[in-house]
Amino acid sequence: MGFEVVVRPAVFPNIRPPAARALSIEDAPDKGIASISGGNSQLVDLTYTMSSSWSRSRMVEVIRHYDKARIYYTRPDGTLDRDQYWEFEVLRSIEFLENGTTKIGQQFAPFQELDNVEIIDRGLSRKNPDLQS
Amino acid sequence: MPAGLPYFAWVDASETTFTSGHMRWDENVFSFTCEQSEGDPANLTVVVKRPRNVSGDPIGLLGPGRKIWCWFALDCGTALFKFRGRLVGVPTSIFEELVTLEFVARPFDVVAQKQALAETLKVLPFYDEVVIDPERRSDPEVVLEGYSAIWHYDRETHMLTISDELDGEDGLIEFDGASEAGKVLYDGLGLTLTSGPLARVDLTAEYTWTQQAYGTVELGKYLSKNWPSIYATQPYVITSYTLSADNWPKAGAGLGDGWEVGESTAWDLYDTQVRNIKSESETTVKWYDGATTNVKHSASVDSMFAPPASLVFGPIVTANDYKTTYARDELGEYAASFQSNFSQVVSVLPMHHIQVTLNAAYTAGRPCTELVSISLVADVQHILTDPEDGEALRLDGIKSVNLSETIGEGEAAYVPIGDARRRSYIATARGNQSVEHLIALARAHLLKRSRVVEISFAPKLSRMAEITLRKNAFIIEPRIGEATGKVIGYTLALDGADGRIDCEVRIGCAIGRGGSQVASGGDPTYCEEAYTGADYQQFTARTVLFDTSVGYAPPNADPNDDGINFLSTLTAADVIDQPLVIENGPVAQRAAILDNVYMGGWSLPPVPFASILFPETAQERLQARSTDVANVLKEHETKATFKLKSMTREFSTPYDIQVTDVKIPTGYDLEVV
Repeated sequence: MGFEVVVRPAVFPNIRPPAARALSIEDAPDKGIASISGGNSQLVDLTYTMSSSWSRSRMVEVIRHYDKARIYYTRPDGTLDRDQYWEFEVLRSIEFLENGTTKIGQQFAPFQELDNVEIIDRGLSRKNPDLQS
Repeated sequence: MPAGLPYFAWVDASETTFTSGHMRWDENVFSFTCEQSEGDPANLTVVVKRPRNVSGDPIGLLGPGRKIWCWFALDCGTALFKFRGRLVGVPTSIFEELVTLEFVARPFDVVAQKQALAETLKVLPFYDEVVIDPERRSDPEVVLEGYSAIWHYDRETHMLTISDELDGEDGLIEFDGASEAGKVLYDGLGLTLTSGPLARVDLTAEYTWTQQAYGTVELGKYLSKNWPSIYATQPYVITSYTLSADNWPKAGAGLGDGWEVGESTAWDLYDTQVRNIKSESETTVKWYDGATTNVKHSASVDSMFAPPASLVFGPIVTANDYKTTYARDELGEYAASFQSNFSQVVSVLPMHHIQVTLNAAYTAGRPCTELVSISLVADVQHILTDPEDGEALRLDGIKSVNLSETIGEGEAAYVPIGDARRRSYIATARGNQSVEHLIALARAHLLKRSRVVEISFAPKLSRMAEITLRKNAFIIEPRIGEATGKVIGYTLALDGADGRIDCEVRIGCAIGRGGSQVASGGDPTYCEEAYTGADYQQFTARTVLFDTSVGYAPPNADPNDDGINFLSTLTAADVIDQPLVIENGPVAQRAAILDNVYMGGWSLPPVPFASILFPETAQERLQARSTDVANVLKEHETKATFKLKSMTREFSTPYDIQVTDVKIPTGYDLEVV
């Protein structure tokens, strides 16, 4: 028997790689759930608004100034019949009261005489009889 | 020279070739024993006359400058039995006339030789580095694990080789019992049974890898298709009274184990922005006399486009008044002005129509294990009355490295599983080689342990020069019959007392039944084999030969996993684990609101009718309606849940590999003895 003895190859467990990490094989049903949620919806209020109004001012006649004129009838043949006529008051201007203040309204030019028109009187005036004095 | 004459020559280490010059007598050999057993180097014990110098003084055998190598030869008549060895240890009986020297035929570079040889043996299927710890791969002893072989030290050249334990590589030495040289001596014949044969090896192995993959799966169509709706919507459109585009998961948001949103889009199909339209008119009339009349009208309308299925709540009048103002002048009282105001509020709960896309990105890292079981049975003669009593060996604890990680370096580097996305390793070509390695492991044990019969005999000296441990021997002897076995040891000895030379050879004989296995093509599972070749598709009932002694059925991939095949394009159907569940979808939300919130406006009981026409309480009722709706929606918030298959889950699949019996040579037939 020699001094040196070569033993047969022996294979020990430590030649193997270490065991892999251990995980749970069974999947947990309540794990890994994907969730989509959220939101904060509110009512959307749609407003409809309508507004209408009217206002007016009123003028009160105090005195009017006028001329007086007469218009004769013109026959069909163009001649005048001075026995038949109409008399008119031709307004020259009116004074109004608006909120207690006197205002002169629109003024008109004097009425012009014509063949069949005769100015009887000018510069006449008449107060509003409805006004209390 | 006469047979039986020994030669002994001290030589330098460099004299590795025996020449006639070594046939000398540097020492007077009184006796010697040269023996070698399987797996060991040969050793020589020589008893020589104590060497002296010319002055008659003893020579120090271990003195500096002394040669420690020797060539020893014994003339066997037909050839020389040669031995080259190195003096080892301290000579015994050093002060006596006869000194015992011990030599061993062990190469001085045994480590380097073994390392170099081991590198050549690292071939599949006999050596599978995936089941060897990286720290132990350089260990040369490990490589023989799958071989039925053992180291062999040549007693002359000191060349290290391996030799099969059943089938010697250098031929057969026959002792036929007929020829003169083929006879063995009557004395010295022996037969022993070393142990019972190993009948079965049960082996389990774990192959692990990390299934790795990454990519995206389009989920938008799946989610929209399975999303409940009040009426049919287009693909990729979902509806809810609460969920809006802002709530859709954004890129990077988690979707489960190993999942996150890769890319997503969401936008509302309908613009629900409230727009306001105002209209105004004013008319002033100046009369002839300077008087004026002023008429004004204005309106404001909020409007929006109510998406389909939106809920519209009836109007609540918040203002409805009018007033006439009178004035007095010099003519008396008159109506000077008039004003009326009207407002109402209609409420809308818009239905969100969201066009969505969602690409779910996965990063898989799933530990996978394949548990391979093999039960290999040896076809051996039973030496026990009940074959069930035969010894079985269990090999456990065989584990692989991570098969998805690179092994080796440089050009030799490779990933054992090839593609880390695979679901199975053992069914791959490389995996089949691992199966074959396991068979090689079990087969090696069975073959080694089948050599139950050990026969020793004494051949004639003339045959001893032929004997090496790389040969088989065949013997016919009337007392034992015929036997063939591997030479497992020999002894050649000279007894100086009587000058007798003893020769002994020991052989180990397997007690198998012989025969060989036959391959079977099996049945292809896809198409005729000729169409694609044998390595393209899977087969059933197929037997592939490991070698002529054993075959196995390559396993078909049958992973016990969740079915995801990362090698193909994944769809939602592939990855959905738990289907989409919608809590409080639009249908349920609508029903809840209709059940709990009054939808009308004008005839809201029990509020008195008058209060509606004169809406002092309108703001309270508007607030109440809004609160009611908010509370209902809070309790009925849409929530969508689903579960994607885990990308971190571990899977384990058992494979029971079907194998044939291991055919073992009949070295000795115990059944005819």
